[in-house]
Amino acid sequence: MQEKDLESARPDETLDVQGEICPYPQIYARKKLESMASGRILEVLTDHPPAGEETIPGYCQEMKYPFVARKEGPVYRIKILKVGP
Amino acid sequence: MDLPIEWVYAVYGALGLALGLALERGRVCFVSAFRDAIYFRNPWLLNAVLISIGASAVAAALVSLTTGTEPLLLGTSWYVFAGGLMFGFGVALAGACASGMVFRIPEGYLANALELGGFSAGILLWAGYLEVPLSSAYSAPASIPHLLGLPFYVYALLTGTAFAALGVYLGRYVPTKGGPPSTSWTLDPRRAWDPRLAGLIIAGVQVAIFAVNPNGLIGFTAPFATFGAWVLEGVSVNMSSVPWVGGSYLGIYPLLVLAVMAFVGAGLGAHFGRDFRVRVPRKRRRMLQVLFGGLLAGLGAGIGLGCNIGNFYAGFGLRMDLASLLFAPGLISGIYLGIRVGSKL
Repeated sequence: MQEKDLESARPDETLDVQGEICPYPQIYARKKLESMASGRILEVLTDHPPAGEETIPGYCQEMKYPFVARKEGPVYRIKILKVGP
Repeated sequence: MDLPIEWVYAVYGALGLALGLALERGRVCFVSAFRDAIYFRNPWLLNAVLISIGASAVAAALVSLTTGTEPLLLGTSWYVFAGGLMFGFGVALAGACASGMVFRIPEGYLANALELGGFSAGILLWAGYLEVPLSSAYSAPASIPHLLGLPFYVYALLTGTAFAALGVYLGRYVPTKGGPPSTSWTLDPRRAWDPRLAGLIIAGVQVAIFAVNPNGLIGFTAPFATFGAWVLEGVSVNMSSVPWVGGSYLGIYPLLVLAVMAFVGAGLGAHFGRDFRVRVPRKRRRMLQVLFGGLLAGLGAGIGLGCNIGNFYAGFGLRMDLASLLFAPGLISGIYLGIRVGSKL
């Protein structure tokens, strides 16, 4: 699946970490992805700007997980495709 | 430079506004810088902090070379290391350092407002019970360049260049694809600023303060103590007899003006960037965690003679004293330990 296809894909699981402080949005997203099977899609909802703009996208890039992210008001919606082990 | 006090307040106020805007738009939190580099192997903020320290040191060297002035130094003791350790552990537990609190509270983070309450309590506990007993343990201020027999500006140029070079090098490891909206090198307050741009502005603020007042630097410990002291005075607790606070920090002073205007600047940044939102952690135990973290950080800032800004950022970017060399390893070790403990909570 390409990143452009992720836009319209339905997430298998959703992680809502709105309201959380640093570094919990990143930690919870990482733990959730580690527990998921390859090929599943996780949607993360966070209102913590560094998590939405830097650390979660950075983690996805490091792990080579395709992702799409968009900002709706103060909330970031990040769809991530788990690939690999 | 001798300015009338009204002018000093005006200059500090304007610089505080710029500082708060840069902190908020650039998301510049020191605990995040170290934590994200260590825990997430992502130096997106650490490279900006190092570049900022480097730029500050180089600019301070140039000011010193042209004016002949040198910055105010701090005393030294192993207590400074212990204070750094306690401060680092506390801010890592609470999620934001002193500069982080300055912009996260105006963004609507209730947890960090609670952390500020804990911090104020911690620094006031130090002032009330530890400041006098510990004061004899600190040696006279010691300047690293003077210990090495180097002029201040030569040492500042060398270390500043080294910090900036390390920051630029770490930039190679920053992920290239971020989330929306992408950061910008413009000063548009509606967009997030590249942290390196924000870091250069913060360096400019620090060196401008040094140029106006050789004894001046950016620091939030004293203003946070003042906030707490005012609250206690509001409920009829007499703070004028408390050492350190009662002597200098119950009225208006330039650093307080800087801090208050930094909150205002951060609030403007959050408003223009549409980043304000009341944020309350769903796990209620998080509130206790940040209160305790703030308390430890406040105590650590007292024992360590400053916070991450006053004793780390200004320590390496301006003062070049031995205290900053002791505070830094304590701070970084404390942040590391705090992350290890905090990630299990």
